[in-house]
Amino acid sequence: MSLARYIEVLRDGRLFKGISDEDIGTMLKVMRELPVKKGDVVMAQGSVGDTMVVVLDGILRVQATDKAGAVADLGSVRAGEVVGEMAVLDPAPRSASIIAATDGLLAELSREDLRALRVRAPAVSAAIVAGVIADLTRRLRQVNERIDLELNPDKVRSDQDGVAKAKAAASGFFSRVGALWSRLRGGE
Amino acid sequence: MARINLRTLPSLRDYSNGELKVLASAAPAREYPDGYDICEEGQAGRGCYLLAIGSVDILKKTEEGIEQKLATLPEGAIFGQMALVDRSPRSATVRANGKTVALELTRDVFEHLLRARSPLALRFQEQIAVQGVRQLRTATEKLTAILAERERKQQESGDGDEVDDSHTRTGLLTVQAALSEWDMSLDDLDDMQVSNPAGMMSAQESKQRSGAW
Repeated sequence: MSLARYIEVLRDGRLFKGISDEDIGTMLKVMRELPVKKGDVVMAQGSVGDTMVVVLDGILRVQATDKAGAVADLGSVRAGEVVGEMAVLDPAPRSASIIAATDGLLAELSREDLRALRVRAPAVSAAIVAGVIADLTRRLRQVNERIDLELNPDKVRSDQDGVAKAKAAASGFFSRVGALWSRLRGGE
Repeated sequence: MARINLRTLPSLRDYSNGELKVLASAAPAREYPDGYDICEEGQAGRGCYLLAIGSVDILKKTEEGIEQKLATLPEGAIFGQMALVDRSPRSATVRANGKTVALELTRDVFEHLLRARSPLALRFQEQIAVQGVRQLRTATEKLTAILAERERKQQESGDGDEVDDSHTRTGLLTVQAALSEWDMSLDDLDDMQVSNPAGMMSAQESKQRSGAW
């Protein structure tokens, strides 16, 4: 596939809407191409990384293992989508493993690369940071809803539909992160 | 109004003189009297604040409507950042603790600077993202600990017994406030769980936050 095709793939994704072809092209030139084979571990849960990847072709699977060793499938990442972007801003142990579900092609961006983009294509670095913030606010809301449930189960219980939704949203995220934290603490 | 020297604030130490100049003109300083509510829980927020002189208290209402003081932010702290990234109402009240001077950066001005790719706005955007990510991690960890502790207590007390969980509730409110006020330290939360409610705030108040935002 050509650069033009990859630019198109990225522009269709959530993060790079409204970014010019030129800026996306600059970003791709800064990034490293990373071909993957089905089953490759792209990011390993618990390992500290400072990179994110964008999927140019293929599908990645996100999975987390809890303390007891149970593996949870947390979804997939498709062409045009991004994973691991929080670590580019603030390196920390990966909360999940990213595994190639098919053969494919990724592009990798490190913390250093983001610094370079701040100068060469500020629109792109701003879009990446905005993506992190959007993801962050969504997760903050989920944790907040979870706390609301804990503080006031009776009040929320009167709204059965809302409860089910909030619980599903909150506990899904929370059990993942909770499992991670207990695992990390246990591992220290 | 007292003269403000932005250069001396730890949260701005990485900023160039040019960026501080832009900040000073984009975010006007205002003096607040003791007890003034700079942000009100439940109200729409229009921007974020940088505490230039003085300190502020973070308060949150319990479900019974009783206002509870959860933390004090020191000089240099940033608060209300959620208003720049999200349109949800303020999740806590921020009250001037003595005479206070704060710079206000509104969402409109911030978005304008961001669209213009102002280096100040880009740096600010990145800093609030990093700060938020860190606070989310800490808050989730504390929340996990609080809930595990509550479960343990409930199991200890046996079925049917009412457990006094006022400490747990204060802990949960504190985590909730910290999810929106990212300069609010959660370091003292573990102590808080075992101390009595009256003595709960002192350690937290005395804690000074340092470093970048």
